[in-house]
Amino acid sequence: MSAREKICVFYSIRHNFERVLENVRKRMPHAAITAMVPKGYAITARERSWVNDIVETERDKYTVKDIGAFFRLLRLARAGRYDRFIVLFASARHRILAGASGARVCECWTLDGHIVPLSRHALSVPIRLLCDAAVGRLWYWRAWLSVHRRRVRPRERR
Amino acid sequence: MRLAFVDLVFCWPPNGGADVDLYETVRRLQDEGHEVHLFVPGLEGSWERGEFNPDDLPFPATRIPFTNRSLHPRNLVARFRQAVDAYRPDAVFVCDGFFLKPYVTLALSHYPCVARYYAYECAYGPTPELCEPDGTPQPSYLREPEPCRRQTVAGLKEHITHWRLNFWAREYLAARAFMPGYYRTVKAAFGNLRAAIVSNDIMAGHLEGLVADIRIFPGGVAVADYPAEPPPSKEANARKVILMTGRAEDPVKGLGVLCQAGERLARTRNDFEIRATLADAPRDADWLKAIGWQPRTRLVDEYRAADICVMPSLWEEPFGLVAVEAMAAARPVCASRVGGLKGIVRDGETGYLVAPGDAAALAERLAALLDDAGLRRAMGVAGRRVAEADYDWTQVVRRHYNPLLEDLAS
Repeated sequence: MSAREKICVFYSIRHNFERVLENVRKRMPHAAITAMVPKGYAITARERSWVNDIVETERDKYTVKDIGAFFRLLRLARAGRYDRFIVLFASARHRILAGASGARVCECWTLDGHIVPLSRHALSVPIRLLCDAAVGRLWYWRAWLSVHRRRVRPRERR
Repeated sequence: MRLAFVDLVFCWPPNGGADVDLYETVRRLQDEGHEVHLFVPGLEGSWERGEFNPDDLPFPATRIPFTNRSLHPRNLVARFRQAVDAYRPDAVFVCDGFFLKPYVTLALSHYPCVARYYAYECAYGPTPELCEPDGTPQPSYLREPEPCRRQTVAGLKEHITHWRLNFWAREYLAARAFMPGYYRTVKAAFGNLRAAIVSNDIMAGHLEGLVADIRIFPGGVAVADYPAEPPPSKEANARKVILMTGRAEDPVKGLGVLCQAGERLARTRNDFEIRATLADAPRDADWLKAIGWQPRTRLVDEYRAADICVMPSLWEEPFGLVAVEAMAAARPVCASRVGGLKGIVRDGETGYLVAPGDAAALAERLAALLDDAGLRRAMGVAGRRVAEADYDWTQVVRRHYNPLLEDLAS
């Protein structure tokens, strides 16, 4: 691993974030790790011990209505010129953020130490969303038909 | 005895009271001389289930890894049976879990099997919410399966169709809990239990006639970890701290009622501050402060800084651990007259009980406590005494678990 590799770890729920920062530092002891945290986030001494730099985002939650704020977040992520961008959840928003960060490597690090590579392809997020929606609807209609068409038999109720 | 504990959602650090309850129970039983072992499924990529390091636990534990694809009843049952059979326990405790719990209970029914229920999952089964935000209870799945099944599917529609599955929804689909046959599995699991442990008589009532032996065990606290001194007397105009801990953002916990009571108090006085374990304060009021989610170690400091503790719940709290913690910290408790809280808080002795949702009554009781340092102190001392006698973990295990184990052994 290059000693100069620049890594950004994007904030998530407190104890998850702490754990993943620790994992990143253990696996890449010489990397320059930046923790991207929401404004006003009280970083703990443990978290601080694993990172080289802390960058604060404008807010802690981003909604579709805050598209301007989201673009400012993207600009912040790109300004760091990171080699690797790490998120803790492979949600659509995190995929978009990681993909648009300009980092060569985008990954989702799970708490149990798994690393899921994230595609940087522009169409990967919409394709993924479409697939998820299709699978989800199939499951939903299966469950819906079951509860509306098949009743618990009286013998089972006794 | 060799005891196996199976928990389908255990995490450490804990995600909730059930994790703490299991941790303390297993630890104390080990201290009592029993051989114990915890079995937990670990779900790849999930922070909500099986997220712990066995080295962090003071007792032996096995994490059985699963992926989203492999987490289905047949595989879960086979792997748990294999792991537990290799341990050869004298009895099995099936602890927290949701829709997959009946399958595991059935698979391990060749052992004396005890199920621990922490909330109303025993009765509500596949219902996503136990009650409406105003506290109105949902129908019971055991008595009215059809509306429950429909309600659940409707409630999970957003999660399922967008395929954004939290562990609850994932387990619902994995267990095929929407199928009519699931009801039979649930009933059969109850029938095979040697005993069920619940937290209050409402839960016991749901299981009446289904389980041969129903026992009501309180939760506990490590009383020694909490400050034994009641709140110090403060000057009349000094700000007193009213503390609300637990899942304050959950509507059924009654923060809204507490805020209404705070508004009433703020009209006539400014000598109080309400602190709640919230990420953000829901309104702009100088008497309301969000202190964020606090780990257990820091929570003790919050209790130390508090003068009064509140638990204004709107639903039938299964137990009411927060009230017990407050009493262990020698703080008076103002709580709703619901569920397990009715048995924990002694009205007029260790605190006050008010009707759920009654902000005026809550404000009145809080005002009485704010006005009288002697009353706060006396109630705090009485609460501590009750906590030491009834809710200290050592007492809970000796008084409740040891007789159960003797019965299982016989």
